[in-house]
Amino acid sequence: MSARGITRRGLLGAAAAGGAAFSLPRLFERAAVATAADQPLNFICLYHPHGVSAEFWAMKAADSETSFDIAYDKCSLQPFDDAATYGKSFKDKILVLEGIDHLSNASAHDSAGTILTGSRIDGNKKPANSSLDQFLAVEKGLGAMTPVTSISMGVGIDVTESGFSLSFGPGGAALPKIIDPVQAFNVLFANFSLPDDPAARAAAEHKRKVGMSILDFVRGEIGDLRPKLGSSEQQKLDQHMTSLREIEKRLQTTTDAGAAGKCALPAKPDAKLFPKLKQYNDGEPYFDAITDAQIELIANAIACGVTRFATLFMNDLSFAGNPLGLPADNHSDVAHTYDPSPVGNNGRPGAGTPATWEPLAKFNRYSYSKVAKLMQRLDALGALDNTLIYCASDMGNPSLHSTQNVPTLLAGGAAGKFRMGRRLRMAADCPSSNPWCDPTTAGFSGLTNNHLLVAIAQAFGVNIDSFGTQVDPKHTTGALSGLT
Amino acid sequence: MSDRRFNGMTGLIGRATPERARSAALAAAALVTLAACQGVIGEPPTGFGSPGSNVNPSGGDPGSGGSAGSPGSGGSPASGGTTGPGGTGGAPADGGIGPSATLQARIRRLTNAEYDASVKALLGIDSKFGATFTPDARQDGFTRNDAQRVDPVFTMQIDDAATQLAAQTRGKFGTLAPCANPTSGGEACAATFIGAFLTRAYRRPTAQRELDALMAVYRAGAEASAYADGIEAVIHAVLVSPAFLYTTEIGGAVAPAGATAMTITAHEAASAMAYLLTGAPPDDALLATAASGELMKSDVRQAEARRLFASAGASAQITRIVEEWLGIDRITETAKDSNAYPAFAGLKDAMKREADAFVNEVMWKTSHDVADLLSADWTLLGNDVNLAQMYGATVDPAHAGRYSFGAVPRRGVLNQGAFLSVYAHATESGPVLRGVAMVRRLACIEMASPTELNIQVVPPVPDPTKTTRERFSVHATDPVCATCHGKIDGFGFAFENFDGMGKARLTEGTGASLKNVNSATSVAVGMDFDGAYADSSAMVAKMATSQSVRACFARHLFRASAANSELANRQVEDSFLAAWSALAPDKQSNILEVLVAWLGSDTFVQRRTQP
Repeated sequence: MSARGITRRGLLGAAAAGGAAFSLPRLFERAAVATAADQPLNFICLYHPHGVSAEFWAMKAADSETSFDIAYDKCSLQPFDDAATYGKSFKDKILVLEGIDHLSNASAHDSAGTILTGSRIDGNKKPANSSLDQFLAVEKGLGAMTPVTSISMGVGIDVTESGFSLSFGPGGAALPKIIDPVQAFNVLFANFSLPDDPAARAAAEHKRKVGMSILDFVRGEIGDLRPKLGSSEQQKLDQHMTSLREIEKRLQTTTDAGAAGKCALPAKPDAKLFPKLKQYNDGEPYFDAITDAQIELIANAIACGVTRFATLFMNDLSFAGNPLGLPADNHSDVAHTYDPSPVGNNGRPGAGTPATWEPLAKFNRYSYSKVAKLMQRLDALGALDNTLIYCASDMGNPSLHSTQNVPTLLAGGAAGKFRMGRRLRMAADCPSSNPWCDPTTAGFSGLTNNHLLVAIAQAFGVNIDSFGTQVDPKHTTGALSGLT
Repeated sequence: MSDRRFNGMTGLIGRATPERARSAALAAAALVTLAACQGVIGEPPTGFGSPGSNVNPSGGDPGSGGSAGSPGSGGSPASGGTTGPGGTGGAPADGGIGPSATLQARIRRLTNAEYDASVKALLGIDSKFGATFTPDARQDGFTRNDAQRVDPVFTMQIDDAATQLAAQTRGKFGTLAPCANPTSGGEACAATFIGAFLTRAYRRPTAQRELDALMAVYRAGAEASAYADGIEAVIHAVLVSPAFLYTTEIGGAVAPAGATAMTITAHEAASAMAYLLTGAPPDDALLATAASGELMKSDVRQAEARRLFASAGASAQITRIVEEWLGIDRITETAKDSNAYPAFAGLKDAMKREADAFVNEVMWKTSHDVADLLSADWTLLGNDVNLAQMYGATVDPAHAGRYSFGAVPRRGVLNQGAFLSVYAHATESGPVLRGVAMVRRLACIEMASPTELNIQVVPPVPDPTKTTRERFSVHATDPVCATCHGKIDGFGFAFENFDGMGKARLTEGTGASLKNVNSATSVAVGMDFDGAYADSSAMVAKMATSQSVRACFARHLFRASAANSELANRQVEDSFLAAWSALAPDKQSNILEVLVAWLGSDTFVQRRTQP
């Protein structure tokens, strides 16, 4: 493997040199001085559909902040305490947050866009601001040092609407998601390895030079066209010009094995495992394989320092004969049938229908199994301790499409910025006298994920006090306490 | 999760809980405080073309176009378009559509389909890359629009595509870039190749600076390598160059300071015409007409428009525009609950084929008339006998391939499987979805969406003792909901004789909850098709003769043609409608005649400059 390895510090060093092309020996030099101590914090956000079956997720009476059982029968959080399957228990690497609200002010089906933006969703199905990953990676420049600034991936759905996106650029423009693992591999890794023999290496260097000359040409063309345009049209070209930087990074970061701190180049995903990719177009039976492939790529990209920021929009398994044995229409026959007890119903009374809790918990457990798999891979690659995973759904109680009490999970070592291995339960949204209160009601005291986003930004050393777009500044201001 | 991803208006379905009923009531109450439906448009404004009435959106950033990938603002309340001191300085109207309000100078990124067609025209390779790119951003449903951007993901995608396409082209270098002595004469051969290739790729004459810049790419490719490597690098570079990826509407020279109006070049006009009518770059004949300058003449453009429309290249493009207008292209992205509609998955492709064939037959091949599109008593089903069976349609012996509906109440494109399935829920029909589609796409009544009105949409609670219509009628009982639903429901309930995948039905429910459906409706939106109808077929028969519907069709056709649906352009759109209203009635509903009128107009070639 070492012949096809790439080095973490080599990659960082390459990108750090900015616009200039540079030679391979300089990369070695930089790699030699790297140490593990300066490995930066990475961020991965995962979306999982259909809300949560709170009966098999929320804290039980016997649980405390630091002592809790998630291995009991049917608990959806089981994968995080399942050493038999994942090699070790990750119970001490998760922080489960109960009582977080997404104030999207839209149908929960449009609310995934609120997870990383903390923004209301407007009539064009757009949040009003960029997402936290883009804010950190692009606007704060934390992605500038890596070959790929950030990556937005998905499973089955590549449309760019708020309900199907986690990552948004300035003004809330949804970033496209890469749903083809082969394409994701190409973006992340295809150019980052060099064979050993001199002829092949010369060919790669020739390719790099040609690529740079093409970039020069395109930049010249843009520079020629730009002055002929008005300001809003110039913005189109400015974005185009900025995008070229990703191509340039890809060309410049070609490096070699042999230096310290190397990581193995992952295998290229086997396209035969997912002959169809898209939802509603026969892709559903392959979503599980696609998800696994995407997770493997993310783990490797993070571990190799290819990027520090990744988002993955996961999907469900709505097809006949799905491996969970759930109904073919997960949405209608699992999520919508969920009839909760008070814990799953924002504290409202009613016994609910226990038989409806298990199918959704089973699906939740499936979603979390992917998160645990990601943790296992990051751990094996030595990157879990420097990674913060933020995992959420677009709704809490799915039969209500409630955006209150959404399942929120932090995972990974988070570089010690957050104290993991805990469960926290926030105060209830509504006074017990009026469990039906909502965000427009005076007694509503919900805690928005905006506060979590502020805390995460601060963990990245970005000292902000508010994040997101809400009518009432109390919902956007202040870091969530109790995390550190 | 996402069965209603494209449903514009409403969407939640679920099991009955007291909370849901409560939420529905809250949603209704929320409407009280908010401005509701916007005014009716569709009547042409007065004063078009008179020198004193020139209106221009005042300067600045038009609408929502500033941010990347924005899906645009179609459907927003009509509030834009401040009236400023006018005067574009253009020539007076030519009897067609004049320059009293003009579109803004701009560049437009090709759609994914246009990219493929452009690659094919340039390299002779049947590119399928477009389908692998990020889906086109849409404005008002149309893929041709001002919101398309080159973002980081798209940049990577076109770069990868260019790498592969350039490599695939190597086998053609013998004819594409011949060179007798590549060892000593490579540079000269490359210069010859670049000169010819670039003009076709850029769809316009090229500048020496551009040729020189591309020679540098050739040299980088050929250095310490082969002639063919240099040519491959050139082709790669051209495929990712802005002049290939964008069409321009900016004229030939930088406008002098203070100028507000300009005219696009003949080559820009050629590209605009060709991409509109054929979805592909201009052919040699059109480029020649552009090079001669003749294309700046209105009658020449009109003649070229007719020629292009008749060409094979227009077939798929005209179909695409009409399908995007009605939203029925979304059938490929539509899914149903297999418990409620087990047959849907097997019929979806047939519905797509029917929509394509029928729209193409009416709008491109035969009458070109939207009245026929809306009211035909026949359809084209090819070999899709299962769909014919669902419809109860019979083979028409007089017309090959046609099926006739006869007495079966199913008329026109709006009563076909595609429209009825797209605008319905996964488990039931969608009177609000269908009604909103009619309101927006056929009547051009501008209506804010619930989220614009700060309403969290929760649908009527499922109730086995009631029909879908009875449940959805709750909207009309609240005077505030009724502001919008009074317009929506009259349209939507007319389709209640069809279920969520367009199968005719007389009843809903089973067993004790079996109920008769009711599609009788009364449309009262202040338009010339207001009235009482037994069902949607009777309704669309009347709408097919409506001036208001024709105007709405023309309005959407303008948005597709201008490839811009932004509010900032409403002044131009209204000017277009005014000029359109001067056409003879039989031409007003004819897609060819409307397009010819647009392409022949001064407005088509004139632009206002932007600060």
